[in-house]
Amino acid sequence: MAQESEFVTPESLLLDTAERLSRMRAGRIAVRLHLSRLGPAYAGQAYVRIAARMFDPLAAAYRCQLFILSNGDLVATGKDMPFAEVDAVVFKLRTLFDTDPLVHDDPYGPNDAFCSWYDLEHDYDAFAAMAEQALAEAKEMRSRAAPPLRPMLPQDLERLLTRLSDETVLSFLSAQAAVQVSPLKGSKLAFQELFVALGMMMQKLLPGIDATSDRWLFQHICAALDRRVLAGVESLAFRGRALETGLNLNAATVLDPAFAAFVRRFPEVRFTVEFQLIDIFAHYGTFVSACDFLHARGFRAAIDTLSPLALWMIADADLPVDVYKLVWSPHLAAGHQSLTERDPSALIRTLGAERVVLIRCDAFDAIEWGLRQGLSVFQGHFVDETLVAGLAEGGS
Amino acid sequence: MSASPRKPGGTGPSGAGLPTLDDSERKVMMQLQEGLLLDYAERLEKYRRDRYAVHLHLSRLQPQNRREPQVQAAVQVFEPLVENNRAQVFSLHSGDVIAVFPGRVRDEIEADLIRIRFLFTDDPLLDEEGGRGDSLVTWYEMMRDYPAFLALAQRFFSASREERAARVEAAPAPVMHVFGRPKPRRLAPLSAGMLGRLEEALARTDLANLVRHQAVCAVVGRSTPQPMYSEIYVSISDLREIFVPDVDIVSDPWLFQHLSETLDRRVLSLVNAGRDNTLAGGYSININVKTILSQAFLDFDDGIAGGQRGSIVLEIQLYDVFADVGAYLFARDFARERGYRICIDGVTAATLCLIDRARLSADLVKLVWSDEVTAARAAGEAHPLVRAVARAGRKRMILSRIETPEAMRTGQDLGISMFQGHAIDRMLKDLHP
Repeated sequence: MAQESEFVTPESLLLDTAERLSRMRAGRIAVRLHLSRLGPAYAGQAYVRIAARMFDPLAAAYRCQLFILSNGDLVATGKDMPFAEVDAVVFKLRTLFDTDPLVHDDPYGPNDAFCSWYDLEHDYDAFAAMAEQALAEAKEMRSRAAPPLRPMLPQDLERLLTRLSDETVLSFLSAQAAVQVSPLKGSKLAFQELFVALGMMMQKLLPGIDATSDRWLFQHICAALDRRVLAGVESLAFRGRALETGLNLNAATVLDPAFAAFVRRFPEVRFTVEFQLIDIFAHYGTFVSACDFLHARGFRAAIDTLSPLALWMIADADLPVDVYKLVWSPHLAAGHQSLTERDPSALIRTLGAERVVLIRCDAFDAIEWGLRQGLSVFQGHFVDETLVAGLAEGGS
Repeated sequence: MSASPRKPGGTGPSGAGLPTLDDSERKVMMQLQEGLLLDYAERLEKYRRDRYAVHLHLSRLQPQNRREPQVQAAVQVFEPLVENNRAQVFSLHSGDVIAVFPGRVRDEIEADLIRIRFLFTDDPLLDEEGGRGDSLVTWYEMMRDYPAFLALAQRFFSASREERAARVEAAPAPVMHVFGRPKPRRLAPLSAGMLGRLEEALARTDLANLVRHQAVCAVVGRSTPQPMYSEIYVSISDLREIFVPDVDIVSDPWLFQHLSETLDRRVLSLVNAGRDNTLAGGYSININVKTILSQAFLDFDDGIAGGQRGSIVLEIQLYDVFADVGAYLFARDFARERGYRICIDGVTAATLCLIDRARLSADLVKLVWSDEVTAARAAGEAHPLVRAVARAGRKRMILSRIETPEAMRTGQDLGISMFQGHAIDRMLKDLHP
């Protein structure tokens, strides 16, 4: 353990500073910004870096010290810093992270989980305890941390592509069903979504590389997977039953003869193609043609993985799609946007609840909230565990 | 995209190979390593004192040692010196490498040569002799050997020019790539591996010669164009011509996007390095949301004086907004808090009808000119594009890729007053010949 204590970390520096300050408490305040408690949308060093940058004026004017903790939290402390100036920085951060309910929760009140204030003359013990706890938590975090994945480079992509065969891709092909929940008529299987378990496939073919780190290379992988899936799939039965089938495809793939050949092999199946927003806006003309192609065959077009903010951005756009797949998060139900134009309930009413499918439902709260909005189709682990198994075996 | 070279008059002294070239040939040669080497060698005449060069004859190695990874590894040995501007390194088409440096870094170069020899220890070339002047390395001390060095640079230049001429003759006529025009035939599609090699080559190359400016101008009625700011970008067509003339770099949209972003990041660092002193007026750079959130942008921001930020426009592609709407909103708020202006770029007649500028909260929207704009003018108020232009705000709209004065006037009829494109460039040039 001796080695561990010699290891300089932001937390050990913070604790050193806290110990030194025990003799110099007068006129000192400190704040801790709990960025680690923000939702997954703000995960990552990029947000921490910019939040830290907001303290520059305080560093210049008052030699404010800033500690960027291993979990992304920020601790700032300085002498004779006017409260109003520190608060201005905190306010700026609340504005930057405005879309997260955390920053709206009881600001300045006892339940403010975004920012903790310490007046060292009065709260020194709490500040020192916080520093000690931060050190312990960071040690614990380091011991649990998985080795980081390396960002993907074009050369990695080339290696991956040479290792992809129809068989390999198909061995990672998986299906997840969505369920239509009707309080009066009971539930039934609505459709299945076919997808390639990319994380697992990467672990096998190119371990240590993060395939999602570069979105363009990732999109190129998706296009390559499209072709393999279309060429290789032999059966579309979901646990022995025919179901409407959702496919994640690039817009360009839909217009490829390979897709037409694929759908001819399964004349009994109705397809929904799920597009990504980035593909839609990068190649809008192709996307519109792809939708026309699908509609001419009685198939449906969907937009996949919409965050509440993305839904807000496109709610008024008259896109030629039939289904909007909205990602569940507890933020949807948090209500902090209920009176704003971003209110998800109002957006769902604009689009029509029958066109919205709630996905990544990992808890009962998701279904409960969705039903209150008039939604009826749900997908996700919670749905798999509670509804799908029974329906697939027993029939609807 | 194409624009005139930044130094149309040429820079080299007369007499040697460069000044006899016509403008387009010069432009291309000046972006080849051999052209840069000759230009540099000519200028070196005045600065021979305490200058040295080493010529690594990597082309003499056994073929199995001449493969790209080894050659790259050899070039990379010099990288720390290049990064600190302490040595100039030319990586030639033949595989040979030439480094020119001042006497004070000679020890470092000697150390580097040991590392490079280590890379090729099993090659017979290294068995011949050690020390200086062996078959792998030729040393030049400029005070004494300048004429020989200049002659060497001229030989490489001529060889490369001939090789290029032969290649151009053998291949179909080179076509400057412009979006929408038919692509030249017989080009190989861009693969991931090729992209990787191209980006590695770009990382070792000074791209300053490929950087272009194009003005965004206000044109009201029949008045002359008033430049508002200049967009700074890397010329994709020139880059293709120099690095991968046989490859269709737009064949895969996703790989092309990856390349574009790499180039945009390079522009950011070039602008940041203050190497472009023509940027006294406002300017815009193409940037993606992820880069705004990166350390590279914070470094860029550090180099910008507070008052200047208001004259810098960050151009973000519309699809980038939709790659991660939350990240866009965050990056936009941050950039505007710092004082930058935001322009949503790459908006087409179709996508303009889908977006709400107020929700995007952008200062400017750049609409790409298309026939649809003419159709909208003819149809009048009922046309969805006319309504979309009004909704987005006519005063905040730039109509880009203006190729003819008529295209501009069509935009004016729709109430748009800011324009960009070759037709505007020509109007400006007529004003200031």
